[in-house]
This record gives sequence, C-alpha cells and structure tokens, in this order.
Amino acid sequence: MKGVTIFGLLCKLDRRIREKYATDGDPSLRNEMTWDIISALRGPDQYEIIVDDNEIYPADELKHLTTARVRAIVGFTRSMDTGLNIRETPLNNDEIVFRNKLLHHAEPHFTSHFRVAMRTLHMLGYPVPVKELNFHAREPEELEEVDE
Amino acid sequence: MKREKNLYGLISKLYYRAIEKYPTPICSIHDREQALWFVITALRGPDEDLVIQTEDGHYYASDDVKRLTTARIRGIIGIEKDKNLGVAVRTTPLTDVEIALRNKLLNECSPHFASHFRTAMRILYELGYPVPPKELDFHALKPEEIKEVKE
Repeated sequence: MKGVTIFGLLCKLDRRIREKYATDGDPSLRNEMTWDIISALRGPDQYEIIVDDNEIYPADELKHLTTARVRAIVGFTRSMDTGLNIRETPLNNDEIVFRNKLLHHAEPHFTSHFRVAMRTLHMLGYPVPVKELNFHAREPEELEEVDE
Repeated sequence: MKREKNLYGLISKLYYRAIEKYPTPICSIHDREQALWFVITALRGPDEDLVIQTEDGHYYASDDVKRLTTARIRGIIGIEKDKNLGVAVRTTPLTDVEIALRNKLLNECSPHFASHFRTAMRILYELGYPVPPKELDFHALKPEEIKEVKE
C-alpha cells in the first residue's frame, strides 16, 4: 500500500459516493455521506468506559474496536505509517459482543457517529463484514448477520 | 453551486493549501497528511454530553463548547449553514468575551477534544485560513487578558 495517502482515501470515498449517488447538481446527499464518514475518524473523547463500579475499561479498547475499524475499512493501513490506531482484520464474534457492551456505556454522541459511519460504509460497498453491523448482540450466539 | 460549497471540495482546498504550504522536497508528504488529518478530525463536536461547571460556578452545556469551537472550525474552512448537512457553523469571529468563555470551557472539557481543537486552529492559521490571531490565545480567561498569537 505504499503511496496511499489520507487525501487519496478521501478522493476514493468521494468517487464511491458519486458512483452510488449521482445526484445532478445537488450535492447535499453526497455531503451528508462524506460527513458521516469523516466525522467518525476521530476516536472517542472519553478516557475510560465505566460499565459498572467493578468494570472500567480504557477508552483505547473501544477505539481499537470502533474508530480503528472505520479507518481500516476506509483504507487506512498500518503500512501508511501514520501512527494511528488501525484495525485491519474483521472483529471476531467475541470482539463484536465486547464492542457492543462498550458502545452501550460510551458517550451516545460517539456511538451514534460510529454506527452511522459503519452503515454508510456498508451502503457504499466498502468491506464491512455484515456481522459488524449488529450493534445489539450481547452474546456471541446472538450474532446474526444484519443487512441494512 | 460552486465546488467549494461541496464538503469534498472544501477538503480538497484544504489539501491544496497544505501542498502550497508544505511543498516537496522541502517538506514531507507527512506534514501535509498531518495537517489534513488534524483538521478533518476536529470537525466532529465534543462527545461529552455533560453539563460543564467552570471555576466561577457557572454551568454550561456541551453545545456551548461546540458553538465556540467545532462550529468555528467548520466556519473557517468554509462550511456554510446548510440545512441539509444540519451542523452548527459559526462564520463570524468570536468576541473577546466569547474567547475567554471558550478557554474556560476548554479547560473543563475532554482534553482529547480540546487538543484536537487547538491543533486544528493552529494548522488552519498556518495554512492561511481566516483565523483571527486572538482566537489562537487559548489561555486568557478574561477578555482583557487576550493577546494576538501569531503561531
């Protein structure tokens, strides 16, 4: 992936949006989709996720399972040497369940941006594993594929 | 509609300004990438949904933080109040009173958010965007203490 740049990835995103939603003259829908993705590229602002008194996680764990996935799906790779937290491989069932638990206790603003970005990336044909669109399952066996 | 009014067009403009500011081979692609990264990641508002209490005992909602920070960055890069995008945008400079309040709120809100905001403002200034030097003073807590910062 040598030579891939952040701007290059944003160009690719714009091309995909134009291919999918070729609106004449009115860029509002395309703007919204661009917004959906770029607004999810920053990690969570909070430093820890408090599930209960005895269960507190550093927000970096949430970031690794959410923001880092959005970045990788958009095309960021570790080889770009950006120093960013990037998770290139799909989450396994246990990780999706853990992610959902953390999302449930995270700031709703962050959670909302993450979910919207994942759904939009899926709509645009980015490689989002359908299982990762299940934001509700609390047990691995509850994970059913979602297609939306 | 002009290309600049398109969000992607604004990002492109930002990147081309970074290319002008950080030309190769004098600067590295990394400098341009960093500039782009720090601005686009500051476009989302603060995650905190808490009421913030400043040292003087006043309470503010996180929307007040957004109005004085994120909304300014959006306004500076050229996002217009667009009913379709529906985000808070502030295109006019902050008054001295607002800058002092913003600084108080930045001291109390998430350091992660505050750090992204400050970095983005400094980068936008460096790239020649219309950032009033007063708004780069992130320390003054009273209007009369505000100084123009040119870095």
